[in-house]
Parts: sequence; C-alpha cells; structure tokens
Amino acid sequence: MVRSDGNLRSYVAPIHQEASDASGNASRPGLKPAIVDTGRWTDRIRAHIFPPLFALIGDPMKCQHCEKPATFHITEVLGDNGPQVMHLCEEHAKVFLTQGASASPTASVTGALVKQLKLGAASATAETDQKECPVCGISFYEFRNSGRLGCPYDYTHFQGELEPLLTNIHDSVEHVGKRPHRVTVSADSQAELIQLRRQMEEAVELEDYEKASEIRDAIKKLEHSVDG
Amino acid sequence: MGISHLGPNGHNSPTVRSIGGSLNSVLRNQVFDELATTCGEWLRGNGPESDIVISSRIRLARNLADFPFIRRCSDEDRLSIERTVRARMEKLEDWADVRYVDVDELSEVDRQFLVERQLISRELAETDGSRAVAIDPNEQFSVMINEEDHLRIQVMQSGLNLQTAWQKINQLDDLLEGSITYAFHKQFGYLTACPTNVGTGVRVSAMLHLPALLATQQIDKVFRSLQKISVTVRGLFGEGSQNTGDFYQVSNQITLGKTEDDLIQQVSEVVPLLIDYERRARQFMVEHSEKYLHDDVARALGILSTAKKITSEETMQLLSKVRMGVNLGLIDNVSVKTINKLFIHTQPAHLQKIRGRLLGASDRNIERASYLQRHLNSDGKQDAELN
Repeated sequence: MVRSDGNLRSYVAPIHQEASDASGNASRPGLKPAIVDTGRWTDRIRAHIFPPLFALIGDPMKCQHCEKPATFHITEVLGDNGPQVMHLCEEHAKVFLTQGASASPTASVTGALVKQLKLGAASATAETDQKECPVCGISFYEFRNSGRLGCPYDYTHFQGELEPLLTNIHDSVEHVGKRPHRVTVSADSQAELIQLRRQMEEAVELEDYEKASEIRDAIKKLEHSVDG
Repeated sequence: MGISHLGPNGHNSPTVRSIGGSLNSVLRNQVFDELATTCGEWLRGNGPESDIVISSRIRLARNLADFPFIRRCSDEDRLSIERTVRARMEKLEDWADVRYVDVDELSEVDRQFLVERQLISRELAETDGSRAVAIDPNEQFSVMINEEDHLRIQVMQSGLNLQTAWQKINQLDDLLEGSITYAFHKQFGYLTACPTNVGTGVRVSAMLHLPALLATQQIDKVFRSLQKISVTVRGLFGEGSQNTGDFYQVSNQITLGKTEDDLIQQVSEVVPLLIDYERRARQFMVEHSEKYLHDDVARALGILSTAKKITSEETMQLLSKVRMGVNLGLIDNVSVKTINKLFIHTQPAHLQKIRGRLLGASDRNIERASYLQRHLNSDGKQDAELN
C-alpha cells in the first residue's frame, strides 16, 4: 500500500537531497555529457578534464521527458516493478501528478495529495498573510512580497511561518555557529524600544506633541537601562 | 587643497571629525585621493594561488537589537543608528586610522568609486537615506552602515586566504559586539532583514580569474554542479552583475544550520578544484595551441598599449587575456600587480578621480586609452608611481 502519512516529502524530494546518493545510481538518465571530439582543442579539454569533475559532483540531472533540469524527484512506491524514482522538471511533474484521475489506485492517491496541497496552501496563505507583528507592524503578506522582515521580533512572532521557509532555503532551522559574548539584555526590552519609537513617530504625525514627549522620556529611560 | 594646516595627522584627530562643512569635505577628498593612487590589500596580487584567485572575502551581516530592520526604519531611525554606531566606533581601540565616510553626502562619482574599489556594495551606493562606511586605510576591511542590514562587515585578503580572513573578521566582530548589542535569537542565531542571511550571517567568497575554463564553454555546467553543494557563483561586482573580465565570485549559499568553520571549509574545498581545472585548461592550451594563444595574448596587449580610445568592456576583455598571458609567462614586461590595478583604475569613477575631473562617456574612453598607454609602455618606471 502507498504510505498515507500525508508527508509529501516522502514522494517529492528537492534536488539537493538527491545529491547524497549521486554515486553509481543507475536509474539516472542523461548522466554523461555527450562529448563529440571534433579535434578542436576545446572539445579535447572537455573529453579529458571534465569527466572526473562530474564523477565527483555529478552532472546536473535533466528531466526524463525534456531538456530542462529536473527539480522534482518522485518515488512511485507501488509501481509494477517496485519503487521507481522519476526525475522531472516542474512542468512535467505537474502533469504527472495531476493526470491522476485515470487508471491505478496510486494515481488517485497522488491526485488527492495534490488537491490537499493546493487547498491547504490557499487557505493557509490567506490567514497567515493577515498576521501582523505587534512591534513593527509588518504583515506577513508584506514580508512575502518584499522578501524582507521588519524587525528582530518578527522571528519570534512569525516563527511558525518562517520555519518551513528556512528549511527550504537552508535545510535547517537551528543556528549552530558563533554566539555573541556579552549576555544580551532581555529581548523584551529591545522589542519594547522599537515599539516605543514607532509610537512616538505616530504621535508626532498626529501632532500630539505632549504624548510624543512622554514617550521620548520613556525611551530615554529604557535606553539607559538597556545600555547599563 | 590646503590640507597642510591640519598637521600631519590632522585628519585623524577627533576635532577635525566633529567639524562639519568644508573641512569634512576636505577630509573626504583626501580619503579619495589616497585611495585613488594606492593599491589596497586585495589588489596586491601576491597572496596564495594569486595567479587564479584574486582575493578572498568574508562578510558578516549584523543588526542592532533595539531598532527595526532597515526597511521599516524611519529616516530618524536610520540617522540614530548611524550616529550610534559611529559614536561607538570612534571609542574603539586602534580605530584611530579608520576612515569614516558619510556615503549620503558623497557625489555620485565618489560613491561609484567606492563600489569599483569593492569597499561598498552597489546597494549602499544607490539607496537613499542616512548611510555610511568605515574603511581600513589598508583596505583590508570595511564596515557598511545601513545597507540591507544595519552593519555589513567585510574583510578582504589577497589570494586564497580564507582562514586568515575569518580570524580577522571574527576579531572585528567581537570588537564591535563589545559596544554594540546585536539582534540575536537563541534558535535562529544572528537576525537579519532577509531570511537568506540569518544564523551565521556569513558570506564566504573567493574571486577567481577563469579565462581558460570559460574558453572551454563548459563553465555553466560546472557552476550548475556547484549549486548542488550550495555554492553559488556571481560576477565581479556581486549579485546580478555580469561576468566581465572572466572574473567569478564563488561563495556559500546557506548561512543557517552550519558553523562558520563548516561554511569556510565548504568554499575552501571547492576553490582548489576550480583552480586545478583552470590550470589544467591553461596547460592544455599551452601544450596544444601555444601559437594561437600567444598571438591572441600579444594582440590584446598590442591594442591596450596603442589604442587611442577604448571602452571599459573591451578593456576588461583584453586585460583578462593579458593577465593569463602574464601568468603563463607569455608576456614578461608587465607584472600581475599592474594588471590587477589596471582592471580597477580603468573603471569609470577611478579614471575620473585620477584625472581629477568629471568626464563624459566618450572622454572617458579616450582617457582610459591614454592611461593604459602610460602604464603599459613603461611598466617598470610607472610601477613605482602606482606603488
């Protein structure tokens, strides 16, 4: 039976995960670059020098149906000849996944998965987009559009939404490198400072100078205690 | 210019720095005059593997903990950040010689100059608002303020020398962190405006000269292979730039989930592979097409030495051939150091700074040809002037 744990990653692996089993994988079509030795010195370099490099790193894989690079690697668990890996570009992957309606039980499950993905994606997006950071006011939608976050506190407030994104980019969600030497003052005071400054600017815009002045005093006080 | 009345070290004394207006512009011009005629670390051309590796660079992205990221900063915020950082920097030990430049107040040609010199990024030059850069007089490091992140620290070394670059930048980071509180998260590490930099915030890169690999027409394939191990390749001036002069910047792609040492190791392992392939490709060219190669290189040098007007693109293309020719011993009256400098000094803003006035595009082409002639035809004598 096809695994139904709903984790699409068991079926569709991003290209860099595939790199670890690059050596001696017989089911990878189009591995060797076609070298035509026309006698020109450039072709001779290719013939003599590059095969070792590609053996080490692996030739970027092409889609089984066309010349584009394969970015989807789909494992058909219940195929006629046991598990089969298919290497497809984005277009052909979509075609393969949505052609589901026809023959085998496996095809309909993949079809259902695609539907689930699509539906899930749509509603999740609408909801998370509305979410706003209490400190700097940026909405997740604004972040998605610009690719830039608004303030350090965003990493706390949008943690759940950012983690899958970070996994996509870095294949990790945890920092293991260097840390600052000084014990930092609580992140709360720092977030508060950002918030206060924003409130002060708003007060100035609304020409409520008394309020702005009060907030400015609060900021100075907090700055002194943060700096120690 | 009337600088003499400031005294031998006048430009470094705190009193000069705090005076605004014309004295500051005198100070700024002095900074540029010095830079325009000197060499700087990464142009020295004598680090390890420097026939192929021009420079090694490491960059750290850091943000202050108590301000929003740049995009959400008001003009006042930006000013506060810049002032705070500057004030803290001025109190640092051994910081007296560091030149602090208000990029906001620079003319376009001056900003372009700093970009060509790789001391600031194009982004810092082209955005608006309060922003600055602190420059080491030996050009071994620069710290940009209010670029994509509040602080972008970078250290450069000539040739392949990532370990030394890391030691230096690590120290610099510690020094700055001593008086500036960074935005840091227990789980996500050093926080940055863009999630692609979060964690270590480190970009490790090496600038390579790969004319022979390019000639084999397989270079795109090689770079696509590198992407599989999270190593990216860009052109001479970073993101989105073209591959002028056959220079390629190889750097790490991810910044989270690995230690800084891991990331340095990753790039350090890939570079020797590329060096090896470039050397083998060059060797192959020498063994099988020496006459063709020699002619190609000689013609390049010929045009550069005698043309009366020449574009920047053509200059880069020809200098690339000459550089390889010098490395292979096919040209013996020009040094690599001179070639490296010519790459930079023939760039638009450098030409104008050296000449001392603004020039339109076609005047620049004439000036460029004249500059090349002077420096290629009497290399030994002129080298002293370029120091």
